[in-house]
Amino acid sequence: MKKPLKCILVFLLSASLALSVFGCTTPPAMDSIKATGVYFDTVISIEIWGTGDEKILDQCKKMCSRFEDLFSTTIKTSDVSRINDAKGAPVEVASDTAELIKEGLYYSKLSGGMFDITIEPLSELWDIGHNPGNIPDEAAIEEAKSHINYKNVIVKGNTVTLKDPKAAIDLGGIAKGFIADKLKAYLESKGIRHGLIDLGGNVLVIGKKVDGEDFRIGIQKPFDKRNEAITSVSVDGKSVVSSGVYERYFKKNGKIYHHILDPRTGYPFDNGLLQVTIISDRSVDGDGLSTSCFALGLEKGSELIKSLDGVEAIFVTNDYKLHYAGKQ
Amino acid sequence: MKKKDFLLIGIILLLAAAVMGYHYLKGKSENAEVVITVDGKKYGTYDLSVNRTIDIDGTNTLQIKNGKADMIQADCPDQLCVHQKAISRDGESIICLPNKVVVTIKGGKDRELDAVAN
Repeated sequence: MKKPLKCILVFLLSASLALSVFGCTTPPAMDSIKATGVYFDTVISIEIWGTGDEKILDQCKKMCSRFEDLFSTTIKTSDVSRINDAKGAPVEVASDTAELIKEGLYYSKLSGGMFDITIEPLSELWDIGHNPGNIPDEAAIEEAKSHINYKNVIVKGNTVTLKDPKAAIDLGGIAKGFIADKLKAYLESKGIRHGLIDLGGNVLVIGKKVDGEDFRIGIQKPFDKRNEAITSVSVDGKSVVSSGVYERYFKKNGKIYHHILDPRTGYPFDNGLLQVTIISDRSVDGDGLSTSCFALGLEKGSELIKSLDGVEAIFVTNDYKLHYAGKQ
Repeated sequence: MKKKDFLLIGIILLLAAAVMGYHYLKGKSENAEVVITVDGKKYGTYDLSVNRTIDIDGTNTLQIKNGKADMIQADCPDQLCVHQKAISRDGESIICLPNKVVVTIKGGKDRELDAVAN
């Protein structure tokens, strides 16, 4: 054997040995860092890949804390509480609050008032989250209903006025989606290309997984154990948001009383739906549309989805059948 | 080419194969661990393949059984953690908010779902 050839052979073999030792180890970019916390009455988690900078996650938590202080109906000093307690007087709010209310009004209008951000008097009356099983009396429901009308909310710049002094707003049906979008925008501004934002089951992803595959997001099976999925979807950079009767409810005489209330009847919607999931680019759209489509029901909700670009929906009816809707 | 050359080539190839085989097997059979934290502080780490019942600070009870971890008891009012599905795959977690208990699986098989919309 000639010497140069021998040298090449030795080199190749050494290279193969080196590769076998170092080639399979995970590069640091595959690792993620994750933050969990408690905001908006739920557990949130934010997981990002390709960085070890914990300061980015700390800033996300600060943002969550600030948004909670602005949008909560239970924190007395929040923008929302100040609007609700103002008895019709104009209230100066943060620009984020004004922006979110405008989003809420957009979906209130789109759903023809079936989803209405001025539902608060009725939500407060039913108080489904803490109600052991008391159905409010008819007169109280009528009174609460009479103050529901999103057209009474006037937003001018950062000033919000309720034309009906007894009206009140609740942004709970749309806030988490809005906040998820803000977190994503911040993370992307920091160069994050792979991320998973989960605000109590309101899911928004950044890009694909770090291995190049789509994120796989399950959809909660109604009334089953939390995280038990009825189906799943693969997404790249999208939001997956569900609204369902099983989230907060009580049962009385075999009937389920849940937290999605019908502004027309004053009672929980009873339309054969258990859940609606929306897959969309913006999470605020997913949040607004999941409640709107739930309120509209399977048929009209599907029509609404088909009229929109880039949005898909999965309806689950009370026979646990899945119904897909979206522009093909 | 001498006999010794073949020997050297053989040894190097064998070594390379052995190292690759080690990585392959390690990746497959790496034991999953159950990591419990209370209020952000580490409470304990347990082998997911060993059946046992763990009392967490007297507030929660976690059962490790047949390669799955399940919160079977909690003194919290909402009982959300008890209603969560048992966990077994890398990165899955059960969280009890009122008691600030977080149970996470580290290692083992990749998770099937990255999150569940609720």
